[in-house]
Amino acid sequence: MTRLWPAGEPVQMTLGADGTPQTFLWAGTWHLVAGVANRWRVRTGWWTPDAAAWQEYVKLTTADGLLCVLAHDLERDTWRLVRLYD
Amino acid sequence: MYTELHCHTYYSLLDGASAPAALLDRAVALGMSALAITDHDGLIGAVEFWKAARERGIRPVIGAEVTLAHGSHLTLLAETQAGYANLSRLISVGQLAGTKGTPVLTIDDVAQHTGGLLCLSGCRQGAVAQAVLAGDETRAGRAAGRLTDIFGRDRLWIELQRHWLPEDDRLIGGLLAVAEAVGVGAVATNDVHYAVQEGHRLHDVLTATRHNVALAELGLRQRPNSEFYLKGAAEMAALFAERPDALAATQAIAERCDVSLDFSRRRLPAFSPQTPDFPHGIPAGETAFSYLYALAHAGLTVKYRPVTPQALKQLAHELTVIEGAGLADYFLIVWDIVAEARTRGIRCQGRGSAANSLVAYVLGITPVDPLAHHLLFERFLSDRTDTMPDIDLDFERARRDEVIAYVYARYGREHTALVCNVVTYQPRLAARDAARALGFPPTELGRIGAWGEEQRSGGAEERRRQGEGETGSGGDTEMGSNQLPASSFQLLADLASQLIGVPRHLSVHVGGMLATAQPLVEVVPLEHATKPGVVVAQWNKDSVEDAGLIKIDLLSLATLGMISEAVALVGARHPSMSEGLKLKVEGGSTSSGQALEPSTFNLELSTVLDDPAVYRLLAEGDTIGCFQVESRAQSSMLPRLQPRCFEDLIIEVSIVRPGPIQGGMVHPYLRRRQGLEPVTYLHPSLEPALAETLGVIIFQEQVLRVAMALAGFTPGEADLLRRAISRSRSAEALAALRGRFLAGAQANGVESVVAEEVFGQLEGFAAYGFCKSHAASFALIAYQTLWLKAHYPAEFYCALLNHQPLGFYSPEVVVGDARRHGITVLRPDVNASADGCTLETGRQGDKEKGRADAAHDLLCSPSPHPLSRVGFSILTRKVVNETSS
Repeated sequence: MTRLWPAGEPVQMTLGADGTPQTFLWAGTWHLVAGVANRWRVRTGWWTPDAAAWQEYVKLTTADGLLCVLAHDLERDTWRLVRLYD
Repeated sequence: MYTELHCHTYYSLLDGASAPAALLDRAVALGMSALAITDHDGLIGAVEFWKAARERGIRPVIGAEVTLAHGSHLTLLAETQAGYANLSRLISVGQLAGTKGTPVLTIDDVAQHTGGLLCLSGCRQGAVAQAVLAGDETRAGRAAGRLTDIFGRDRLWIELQRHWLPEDDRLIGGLLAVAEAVGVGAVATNDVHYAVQEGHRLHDVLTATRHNVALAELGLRQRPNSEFYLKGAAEMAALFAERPDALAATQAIAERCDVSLDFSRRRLPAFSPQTPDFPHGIPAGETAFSYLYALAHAGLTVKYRPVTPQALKQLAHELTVIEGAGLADYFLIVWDIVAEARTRGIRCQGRGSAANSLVAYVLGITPVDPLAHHLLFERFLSDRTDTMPDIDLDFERARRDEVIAYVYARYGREHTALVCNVVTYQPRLAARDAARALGFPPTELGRIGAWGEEQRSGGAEERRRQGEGETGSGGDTEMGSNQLPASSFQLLADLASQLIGVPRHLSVHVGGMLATAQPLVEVVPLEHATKPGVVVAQWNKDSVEDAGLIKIDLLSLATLGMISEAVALVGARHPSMSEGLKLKVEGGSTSSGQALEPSTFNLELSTVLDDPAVYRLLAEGDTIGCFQVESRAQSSMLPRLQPRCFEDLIIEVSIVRPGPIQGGMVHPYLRRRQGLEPVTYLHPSLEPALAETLGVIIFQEQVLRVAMALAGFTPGEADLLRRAISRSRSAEALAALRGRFLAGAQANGVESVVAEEVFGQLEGFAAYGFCKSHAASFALIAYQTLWLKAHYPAEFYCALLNHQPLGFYSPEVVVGDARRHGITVLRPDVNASADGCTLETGRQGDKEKGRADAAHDLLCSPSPHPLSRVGFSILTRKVVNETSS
């Protein structure tokens, strides 16, 4: 089962010194990042202002057993949770 | 330290987004000491890149990304000169084996030409990477093994790229395993397609254009992100922190590569020795130069009767320069082409700066006497060896292809090719393609194209000034397209303007041919042109020149064909008055009252160019159908300028051009000629150079003379100055020459105020200066057409109509002019008409030809036959309409 949020759930992110995610706050709980499985960037839709997307996706596991994908909006520097694997 | 070894310029057509200079500038900013160029299946931009890199102190690494059968990519870099030759050869093999735009190179082809080449396994589309991505370790190992067999362990690297794509880690891991298994090293690259990150937009637009869709429809064909820009050591180190060896390898590889694109030392095929098949060849016991020497002296005695000491001296001087520059073969090659054309009855003559040369004149290459017309050899060839001579030949339009075929046959397909033309985006198409990419409705594209063109020409500037909006996109009201927001137009304008100047495709340059001593495919890759059977070199004129190669321009001039036909018609109708090309001229007198004996006017060789009938036509502006002097600008200028001699005609051809008229250049000359302004010289030493043009600088040759006379420049330096002024490419070079000019003038005792004013005149003149020898060659053709119109109008108009489209005017206007001159133009007649226009003698009987009695000459219009030329179908349709109404 996967939970997918197209718009993404806003999360608050703290990064380590090298820029990797360390902990994030979602739904009232702080989650500690255990490991980063994959990272990739997407940039598209720049030709239509509303549809412009410049994202870095981070697939990670947390200490409390979550496997999820977070999206970092590289334009606005915001983080959101976009997918949670159950 | 990091060096980028996989880099596309915009010569990866409709893929790369940046100019070589832009990439190199970025490399400099990033502190790189070297940069590679690896365009797809081509070396189109290699010379430009090589030159620009050296100017910036960056080591150029010349390479290419070749496409193998099954579409896989391989990166090749030239380590040595032999490697470059192999690279060029491989690209040619692939290009010529496939169809246009779809090169087909096999790995076996590569295996046969690896000497001096270094190999990187390629981007994600490389065979090894594709196998790894497919999870097929065996196949990956096999592909890598094959490459290792071909290149050896010291000339092959597994290429690693990290572009923040989901499969990157898995791919890199797999590639590293393969590298270890076959025992080769790894190297990091970034598959650069644009210089800075923002370039990803232009790159996407080019991709959309290549696939003929809008950006929104690209889907997976669009690169997923904007990471394909030139990254420096710091960024690459962050991406490959765990493999510093892959980064260090880039430097080591770059330092091994040392290739020169200066081919000036062995640039031309040697002229062939004499054989029974080739009687023009160099006779046994002679060298190219000794043969040239003999031919030149033989020609001298034909053209100059008697041979003057001045002519001998000039010939000796020119031959010395030619020998020193190693150009004897070049002259012989050109001489042979012209001689062969004439043997086949193809009318031709040289044009351009070559007409300054006495050697060219006595060899029959160019038609005007440089001594009689005060021309300057150094404008064509000076003692400086870094300037290439350029001989352009004009041939009858209909028969030029025969000459091209002869050159191919003589020098072989391996050694000859046509030069290409890089067609770049112009404002109209740039706007259209950008609009289509952005998803503008197809119905709007036409208007957008026109708008784009206007934006660049400044018309939009005016309107913007008048109705300034907040975003300055006053253009949207022009477009009237309400579906899309104004910001789209801003984006459109940005993208369109970025597209301008970006190469779009290659076309064949009109008649520029390249011939080399070594096989041409080892110098520049060849590819198919659009026209079947035609093969074109991937370099354009500028690259050819910068590489030190020589090209010969075989151009076509329709007027030459027209003259040939007119002369033939005269010969057919007046056998008693002509012997082949020599036509007898009746006596008369020149405008200065000199008596003219009846003589023989040889249309090819005549040096007597003062027939009063010709100058009468000119003075009256009665010049429809006459080469170079028939335009409206010309016919309104002629009655004011009143050319009275051939020198005046040369000036007329030179100054009545868009440039000088805009620049106000014509007026001082005209004013002085009409006596409205005194003829003055800024300094007495300028009088010999400028007397012929009443003190006004009109010719490029005069720029040289002024620099030599006033500032003591040598001819070579003076030509450098002329080029610097007219090209305005380098402000520093011009400033340096200015300094030399002022210093030299001062040394000659010229006041600095005067020297500065003279230099200012030279600079201002730059845009309008005309090459006098070129004007003289063209003036001669003009004279011949005028002479034919004056003396044999029926034949003149007949030939003119048969060579349409030609010149400024439509066939209807020509017919009207013919009638005004007393020629009757008949309608098509089913019984009498032939395919083209023909001449018929009148029913009044055949009279002796004289200008006033032309009434009996009749021109028979062509029949409405399907094979008639288009121009005539207009004529016949009109005539038929008249009949039926």
